[in-house]
Amino acid sequence: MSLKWNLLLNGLRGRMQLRVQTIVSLLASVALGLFGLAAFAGIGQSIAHGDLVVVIALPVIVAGIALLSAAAGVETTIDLRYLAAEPIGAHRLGSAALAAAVVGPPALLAGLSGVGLLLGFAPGSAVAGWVVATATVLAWWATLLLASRTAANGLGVLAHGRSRHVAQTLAAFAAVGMWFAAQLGLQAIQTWDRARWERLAEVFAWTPPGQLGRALATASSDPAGAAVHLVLGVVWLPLLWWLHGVTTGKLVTAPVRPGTEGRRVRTGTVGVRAGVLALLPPGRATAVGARTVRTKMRTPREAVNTVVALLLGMGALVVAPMLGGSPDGRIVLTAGLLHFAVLFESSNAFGFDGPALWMEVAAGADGPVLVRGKAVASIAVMAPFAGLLVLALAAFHGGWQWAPAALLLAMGSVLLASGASVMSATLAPFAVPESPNPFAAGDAGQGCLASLVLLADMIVLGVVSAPVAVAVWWASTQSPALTAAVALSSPLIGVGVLFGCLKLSGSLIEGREAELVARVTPAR
Amino acid sequence: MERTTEPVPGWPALATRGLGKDFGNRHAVESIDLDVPVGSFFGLVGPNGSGKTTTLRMASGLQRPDRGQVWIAGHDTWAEPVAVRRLLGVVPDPLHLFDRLTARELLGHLGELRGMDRDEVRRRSDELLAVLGLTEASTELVGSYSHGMRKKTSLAAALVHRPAVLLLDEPFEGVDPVSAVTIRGLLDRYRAAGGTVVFSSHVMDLVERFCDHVAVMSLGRLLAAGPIDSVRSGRRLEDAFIEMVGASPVGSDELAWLDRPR
Repeated sequence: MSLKWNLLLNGLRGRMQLRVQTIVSLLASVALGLFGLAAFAGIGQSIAHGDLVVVIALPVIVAGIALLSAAAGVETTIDLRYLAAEPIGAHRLGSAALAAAVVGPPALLAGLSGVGLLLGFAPGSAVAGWVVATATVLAWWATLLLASRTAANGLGVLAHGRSRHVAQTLAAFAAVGMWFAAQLGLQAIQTWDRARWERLAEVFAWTPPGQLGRALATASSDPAGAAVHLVLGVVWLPLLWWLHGVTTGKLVTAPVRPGTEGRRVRTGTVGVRAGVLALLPPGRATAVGARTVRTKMRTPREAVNTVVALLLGMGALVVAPMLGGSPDGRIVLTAGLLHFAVLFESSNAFGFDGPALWMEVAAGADGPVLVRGKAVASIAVMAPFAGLLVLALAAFHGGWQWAPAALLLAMGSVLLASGASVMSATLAPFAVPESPNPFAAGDAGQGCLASLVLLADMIVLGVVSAPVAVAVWWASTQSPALTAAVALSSPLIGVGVLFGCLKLSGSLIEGREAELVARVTPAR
Repeated sequence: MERTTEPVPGWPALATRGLGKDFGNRHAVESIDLDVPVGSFFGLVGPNGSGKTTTLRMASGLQRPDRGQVWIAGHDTWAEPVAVRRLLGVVPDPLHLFDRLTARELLGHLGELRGMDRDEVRRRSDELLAVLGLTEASTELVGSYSHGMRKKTSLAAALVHRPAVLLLDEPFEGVDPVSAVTIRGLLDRYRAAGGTVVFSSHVMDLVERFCDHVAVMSLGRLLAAGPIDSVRSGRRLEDAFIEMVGASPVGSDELAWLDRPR
């Protein structure tokens, strides 16, 4: 714990980027924690079905945190590999990792949410009720800690050797699954009656976190019964603790560069161009682009990033049925909303390259070549997908007459967002720490910083795209042909923005390539 | 089309004037004036933390100096970075390679970035990988290589375009003795054709066997530089080095606990 505390303090005293990341993550954790506090207090005190919602909410949150840990690879900033040579058994090492995880921004978030649970369900209780509620919140914290760390470790172990594709798939679908679950949950809260909540609560009450929910719901009225629920709620913790120790032990002795061991690759005899990448025209920028796509697809964390981006881009395919279906064929035009998917996929392109970027710099790839290469990679991955998305939308929802306009909008979106992602990659590259867990992003605030950068990008792109969106919406009320004519402005604006961004970002890096490499090199 | 830059006649292979770098309040490299003759095998020696790596990184354009200038074959590293990169081959320490490429892909990719002919890159890559004993592993991802194999891959990447100057930071660290002899032979051929090798090490025996010129650094300062015979003045290089740097032998009453059995 003291080591983690010192790392956190060093984050606040370190170089500017680390300081910003640490402060942003602390602020975000406090803000989200206060939101959780208010939400749980509100569920307990003022929502009609609060006693049922908490039974459902606690297991869902545990599952969500485990999925998030699996998807984002949330882990401590302490690399346990450095402690592997110490005379400490796997279970003690695991316990140390858990203790360390108690210090830091995620723990702050969980702590505040737990206080919210206490404030929501304990008031009005006798002393016994307070005691049971407090013990339940402590058990809830322990459950969150063990579930998240065990899931992250488990995925890290899976990611080595033959199971890495399983791990990649799990991680990708975990993130997307969470997104869809959140959408369905929001819809349910607004429309469900008490009977439906009761039926669902009955199901979730069979899980240990569901029993913790029952304990909280009954703490004020029946402390003795609540104590029984509490006991049932903690009964699986020893098993989780054991699993955590086992997975920690396997993870600390895992290969340094997971997923590469003994792996033979059959590609082109020269360079990285093979298959579809061989279609790219020759040149230094396309060489950087082809290499970026190649390494991206072979690196679990990046491959998952790309898969998640593509799945998010497919959101339009399922939004309509989820919201009750739309007979309007104009849904095809939503293929033009690929901005976020493109940004998600490539807004930290240099950070994912890491310090190996020096090799391309040393081989003569200067700033303009590097940024053009990143744009090539982004467009090469997203443009074919954009075309397929238009066809899929038209096939699923009808509205083939809108497909030409949708295709133009989608291409414009890809070009525009590729330009923005290159700017982000240039202005705010952040080092991605190396870890035995190839999905890990660390908990030093990189995720919060990335979210802020994405948010800023989306605001800028929203402003740039708004006039086109309004004009296309108006044209769509007239005719498909007019819509296609108006949509032609989308790729034109996209090309203009892309070239502007390439020019600016290239000039920002040119002559300062060494500084770029330094910024994407994890601090030792 | 491969872009080329020619060395400026009459200039040393590497020259620095007042080159320095600070990390916070600490002078990592104070102010170095150094000339490396063309065609020499130049050893940069010094204890840990003496500034060897920082000097080589500043010379190769990987770390911006706080003061002074550095030239590679007459071209200013920081004013003409692209020209200098065409003239240089670099093996840095620590090594950072694209772990998710094979050695063959890596060499081909770097050759393409340098604008080399594909067939020429293939031919040179095959020969380099064969000489360095990497042919068998050349279709495996670099991330699965041992430390020594990574060093050799990095050396192949530094040589594939036949640079005018090679900057090698601890090139023999982690390399087995057989491979070290192979590398030595390869570097000798390169140097016999006019190439210049600058390498850092703290293994005196290695420097003494390989180098004709040497520079001694300590605490960011250059203590001596020149032909190896003049620097060692009839002594072994290690003795000369310890005399210059100043050894701090362990006193008999220090670490007494080491003398006791467990």
